[in-house]
Amino acid sequence: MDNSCVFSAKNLSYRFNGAEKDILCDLSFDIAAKSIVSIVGPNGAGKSTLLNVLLGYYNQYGGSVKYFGRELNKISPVELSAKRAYIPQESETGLKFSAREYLKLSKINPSFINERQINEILSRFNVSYLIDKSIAEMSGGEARLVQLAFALLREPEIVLLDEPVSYLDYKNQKIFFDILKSECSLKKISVISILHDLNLAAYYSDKVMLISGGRILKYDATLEVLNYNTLGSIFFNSPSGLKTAKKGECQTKIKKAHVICGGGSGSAIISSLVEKGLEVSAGVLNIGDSDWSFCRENGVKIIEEEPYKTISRETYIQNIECINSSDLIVVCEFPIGTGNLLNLKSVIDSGALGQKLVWCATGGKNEFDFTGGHAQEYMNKIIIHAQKFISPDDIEKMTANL
Amino acid sequence: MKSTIRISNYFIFVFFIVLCLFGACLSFTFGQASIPYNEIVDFLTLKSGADSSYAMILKMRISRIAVAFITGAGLSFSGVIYQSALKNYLADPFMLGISAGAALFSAIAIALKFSSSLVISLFAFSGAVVSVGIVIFISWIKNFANYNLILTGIAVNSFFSSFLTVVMYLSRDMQNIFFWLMGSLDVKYGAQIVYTYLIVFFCCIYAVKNSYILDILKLNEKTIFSIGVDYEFHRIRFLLLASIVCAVLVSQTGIIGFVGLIVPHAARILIGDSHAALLPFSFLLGGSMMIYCDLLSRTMADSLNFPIGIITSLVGAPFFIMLLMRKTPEAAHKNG
Repeated sequence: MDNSCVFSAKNLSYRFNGAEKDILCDLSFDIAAKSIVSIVGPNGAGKSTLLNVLLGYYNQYGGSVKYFGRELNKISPVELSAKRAYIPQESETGLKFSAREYLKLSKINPSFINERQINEILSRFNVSYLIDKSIAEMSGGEARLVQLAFALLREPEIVLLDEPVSYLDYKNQKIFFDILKSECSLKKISVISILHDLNLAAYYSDKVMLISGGRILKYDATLEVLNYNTLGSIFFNSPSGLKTAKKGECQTKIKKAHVICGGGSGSAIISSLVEKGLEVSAGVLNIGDSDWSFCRENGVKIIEEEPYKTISRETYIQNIECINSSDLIVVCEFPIGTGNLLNLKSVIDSGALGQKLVWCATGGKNEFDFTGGHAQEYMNKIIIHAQKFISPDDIEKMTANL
Repeated sequence: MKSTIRISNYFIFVFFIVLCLFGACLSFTFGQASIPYNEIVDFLTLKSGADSSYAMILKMRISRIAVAFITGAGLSFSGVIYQSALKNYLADPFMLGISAGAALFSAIAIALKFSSSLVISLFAFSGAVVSVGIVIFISWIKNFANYNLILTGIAVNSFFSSFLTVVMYLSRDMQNIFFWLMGSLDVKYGAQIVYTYLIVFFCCIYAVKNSYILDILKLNEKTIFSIGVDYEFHRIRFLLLASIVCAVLVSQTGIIGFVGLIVPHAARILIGDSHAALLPFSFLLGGSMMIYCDLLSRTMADSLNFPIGIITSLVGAPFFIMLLMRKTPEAAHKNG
């Protein structure tokens, strides 16, 4: 068992000097070699503390953690460093080292790293042009890739990452993780990573460890953990800081509304409609999406899909049923890719266009079509039959006139 | 490590070496006493007699140039190490109490009527060692982070400074103490210059050989840990090294401020953060700057020898502000 496990913890606990409460209490888990494990959980759950314990940085822990079969705090930092790499939450901004100078530091002695290895890894990442660029002048995404190169040049068997993509946009998150995943599966490296984005966790990890209040709530294959029942109870039973809408008395002819949204585009309009007293539903939303969180917080009915998954035939049909039973359909403007294109198609296929009241967002400056024109085509069909709205003010006016 | 020094950096190096040599020649030729051209040629070709008064003056100028160079070079060099090891760009070699310790002990020596510059320098050296030793010892046993280490330095500095005021107040030799505090490049004994050079050169070569550790110390603390480098140990090791250099210099020349702060910054702007190039370059830049400052201090007013510490600030501050403004126009806008 020892050889197949990178880490094997028994009753691990950790408490900061002088603190009254354990940050980590009684954790027991095995992390298999060559697997990609994500640690998720709310802020203050103890994720970073756990990672620091695994890193060996916090070595005054209680219980036991075995690292390749040996007790972690009995191994010297130099020995520990041999098979392991780490990427911190902060990127090394402000460092006036060129990528070449920086990457040379990845081994304890710069003569262990040669020019060829540096050139090779940068060209594999498609960022050869960065070699003489100073880290201080790189974009966030570039600096992160150079940090990843730094970690991989150490030829590790295990990489620990502390929220590596928190400050990156969607595109750069994807580039970072695609490279990480392909490199690590190629070289059979284990990856343990703290992630805030559940979609990323779902997409890239083999197993997910869900932590809250210093305890492991669930540690299992990704889709076993990242589902409605498990996540909902952790993230949303406590006051989450999301704004809530007060349900009003319904005085309009229109009783039911269905909102097609995502990525936070629907929250404002849903709350207006709920306040007006309408019975609102929303969908199809991926679990963990910010609109999904908002709806859940406010008791709005959701047609939902697993995190990061393409809308399935069943949810598509459910969505059409929901549209057909509503009096008002609202289509918000949000990023549409092949995964959620069926959202727009369901409006068209439902036969609601021309029959029912449809509101459609338009004129936003953001590019929303990531499908190579299909989304725009559907949107054009919908707009012909819809009342258009642009700003939140329009929504206020339109709901007031219902 | 050669490849980390970029081609354009070679030009910068050559340029400043030439500038430094030129400054040394100027310093040698000009001064309060004007010396006939043929006397200088005689001196250089070893033809002038031992009793020639011109030769005496020229010898003094040579030793002065030597002291100016090593002082500027050593202080800048320690400044780089302090800034990198403490991860704080406001750090200078006097931050951990060296200046106040040296000042207090030398003031005590002067107050006790020791007149030999050698004795005063020994006192100053022990003062510097005592104060920086206290700061580093406290931070070592308490495992202080940089922030607390710097605060401890400030506290010790201020404690020693107050003591210094007491000594000055009680002593009748206020003027001598005050003069020492302003710094001076007049070092009387050749042997002093020689051992200063030896110590400073040895420390510098050692630091340059281990410069990649200084590079590593600039990374994120947990990254450093993950590489297997003991951050605490190396930080203290380099701080001690820089402190020795600085204590030796302070004990010879008194407190010459500002060089150790601005030259490292100027060097970073010109050559980047990689210490393999940065350390030798600050050494060169600091030495050159001090030679020119010394030249100014000797020739600015006819019969006056301006204290060198005043010149470094007078010349250095505007130059430094100019560099900063050139470097970060967008930052200046943001703050405005």
